[in-house]
Amino acid sequence: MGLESHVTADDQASTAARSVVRRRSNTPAALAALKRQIQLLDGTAALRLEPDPATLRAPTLSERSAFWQFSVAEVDQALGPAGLKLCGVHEVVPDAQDDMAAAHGFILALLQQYPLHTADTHNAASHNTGTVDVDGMRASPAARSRAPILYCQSHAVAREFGVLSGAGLTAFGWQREQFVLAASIRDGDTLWAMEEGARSGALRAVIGSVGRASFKQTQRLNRAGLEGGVPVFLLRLPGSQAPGAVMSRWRIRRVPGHSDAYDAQAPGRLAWRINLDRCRGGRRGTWCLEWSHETYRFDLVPPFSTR
Amino acid sequence: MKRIVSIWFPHFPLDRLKRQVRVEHPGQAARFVDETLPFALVVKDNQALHVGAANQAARQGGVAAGMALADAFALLPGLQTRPLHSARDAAVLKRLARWCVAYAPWTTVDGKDGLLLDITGTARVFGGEDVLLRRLTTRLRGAGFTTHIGVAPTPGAAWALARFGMSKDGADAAVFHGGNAALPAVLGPLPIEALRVTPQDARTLRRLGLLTIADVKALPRVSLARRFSSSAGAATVVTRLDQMFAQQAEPISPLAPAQIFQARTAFSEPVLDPQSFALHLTDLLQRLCQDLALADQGGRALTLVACRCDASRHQITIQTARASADAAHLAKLFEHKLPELDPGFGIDALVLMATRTEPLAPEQSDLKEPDLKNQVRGLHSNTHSNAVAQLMDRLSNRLGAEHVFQLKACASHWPEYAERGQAAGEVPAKSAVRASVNTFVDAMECPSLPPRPLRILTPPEVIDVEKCLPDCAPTHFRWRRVRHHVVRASGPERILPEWWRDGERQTAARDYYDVEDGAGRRFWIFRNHPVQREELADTDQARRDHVDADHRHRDQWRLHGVFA
Repeated sequence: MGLESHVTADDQASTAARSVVRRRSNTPAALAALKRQIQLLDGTAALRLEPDPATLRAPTLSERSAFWQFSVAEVDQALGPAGLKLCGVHEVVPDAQDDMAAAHGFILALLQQYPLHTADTHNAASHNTGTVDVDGMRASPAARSRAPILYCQSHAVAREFGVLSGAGLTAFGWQREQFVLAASIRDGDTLWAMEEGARSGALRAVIGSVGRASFKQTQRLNRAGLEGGVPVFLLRLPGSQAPGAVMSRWRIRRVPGHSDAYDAQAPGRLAWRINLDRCRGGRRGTWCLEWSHETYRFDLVPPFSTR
Repeated sequence: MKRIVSIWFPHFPLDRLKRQVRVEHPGQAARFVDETLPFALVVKDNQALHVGAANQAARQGGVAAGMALADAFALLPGLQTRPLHSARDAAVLKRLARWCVAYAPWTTVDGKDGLLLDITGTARVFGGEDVLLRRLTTRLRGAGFTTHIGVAPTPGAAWALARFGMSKDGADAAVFHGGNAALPAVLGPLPIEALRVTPQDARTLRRLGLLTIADVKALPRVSLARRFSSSAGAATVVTRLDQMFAQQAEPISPLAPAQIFQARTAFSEPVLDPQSFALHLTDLLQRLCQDLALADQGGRALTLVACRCDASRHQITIQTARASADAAHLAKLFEHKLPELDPGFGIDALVLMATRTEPLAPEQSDLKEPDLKNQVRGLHSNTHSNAVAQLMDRLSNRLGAEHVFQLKACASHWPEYAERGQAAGEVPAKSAVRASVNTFVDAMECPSLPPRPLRILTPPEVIDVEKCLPDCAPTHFRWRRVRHHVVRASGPERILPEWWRDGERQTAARDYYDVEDGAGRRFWIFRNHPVQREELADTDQARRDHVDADHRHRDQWRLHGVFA
């Protein structure tokens, strides 16, 4: 039912767009209006980095910093002109049963790319333009960098895939004190906790591992994430195909990385094969990325490199 | 004529500690309660350690309060000690005084180990003075406090009787019956210390050969006043004498009643409609929060009591991570609990109480980003850390306080004890330092710790290993019916059990391996390191047999974690 309502919204928009085209045939303004409408539908309206002709206002730093960047050219190109929108729901699906930890690792690595370096300038920019913090609920980025990350999972998921270990977080540059863990009995409670966290706007990010979530529930979650300005990572069960109203959908599989420089027998570097199955404003793609636990950066592994 | 009760707790700090241990750690109680082992509480004054209180065994061994701790150890080398918490003692004594209001409205704390109650006129409520005293002592003794009680027409006399009076055989209290005129006859033989004078004055009086109160009372007042005029204000010998024998008034100023924060609303007809509770609750919260904010207090725990029309009660409770007087926030916490409120046959009245309050922490507004809206709205509104705390409250009230937590590192190498969950009440303020810096510091502190997995399985799961060489990682293993071929491995890292923990003595050491299978997945597996037969002495035959029998079980592989 949720899916239908989504489709009808698209239909309405396209009929509206057609009427625009009919009224002012082929003018550049009409085209721009169409593009704008498409972007609004995609939720990528703020993507444009060139000055907006309507307001003649240059994009603020806050707008520029509201995107994920992998700092890997091949991946960033696929994510769209500016990158992947920061807030909203990003769905991460482990490829196989044993890839759950790999999916967690990918999220933690991606969170390390959280655009914080513009925090101070962002603050100033938002003050000049007065665009954000209108409702008083959104935290400033400086405060956000201190904010904890909420991690939710149900007991069933914990039994199956284990619990987060603080000592293991250090490989991704995190401290255990930066995480607040919430254990729930049902998936419904997990989703509720995630939504509360996203809506509060007081967190750096929300991560949740959910067995079952309907399309409607992901829609709610996405809306909460967008309103609160919080990135939400929804971890699905391995191999899940369930539809969701999400900003992006990633499929993660662990692959053997380069072997250790000093000990060929020891486990090698951390590497994933990453499938971007869905991305608003971007396109699909598959890459092999390695994670450097010293610089906290992604590196692209050439497809046929010798290992 | 007034009737004053003086209650003396001769071993108050000890009794208080025993009671606390009994309530909080029932398992350890035996150690403290055992009076045969010498035990003392230690106070520190002027950089020197003194005995603050000693139990019976210690007192019999010659240890007394006020003695230097070194001397006490010389007398009893096996003396067990704990620090004396005078602030906590004082708080408990104050609570006891408040509790005594049940017997007399006019109660106060008397020194460090006593209470004064003015029971004039209240005895008849209990059916007589002896009934009142019996109840009082029974309940105080039931709570674990040794008590001596004195009853007299003046506080001074009651004080002296409680501490120095001889109770009649079988009686719980040294009670003085009779008028003021009869006081000298009873109090006269008591030692000079019963006069409540300063220790210096008591010493001087003793040196002058004045051993009892009667001796002092016989002296001419003028010379007595002149000789002891230099003593501190109220505590002069003449004043004390006059107070004791009711020649000078000594009023008792009672404790101010503890402030109770509650709001109630009564209905003319029993209410059944659950919808209306939310409305009434909002109103109650508004009133309660106003009271709280006036007193600069915030609620940590709130209870909503529904008084039903059949005289039964039902209540729901919420707790907050930090003191809050924000009605909107508290209402949100009640939101999920309110449907649980069972109206029964109808509710006559709703009472909202703040059962635990704390002073409201002052909010520091951000200088860099002045939030005008918050300043207008008042002190306790949405600053960022407050927003986080409120979120934690909402989560813990729905999921349960123990289910919303943060991980804290513990000083232990044993993986099961290396971390523990701590309720997420206090959200980190210190993590402002960039993570990478912290990691660097961590790495500096613990340079040689091998990597740890991201996900930990609790408990570790048994895996099948077909065969493997000693002190080597296996080449294959089967976990959850999937066979993994080990390509790369590092280890072993041996972790020894902590023998000093209870029940850890029998645990085997573990050899951990970090293995990677053909698909690149990394696992943290371990083998219980078998106890070597040869390591045991020849005489230890029984243990040897045990090891033989246990060998197969111990030599078992388990998977403890999965790396990202």
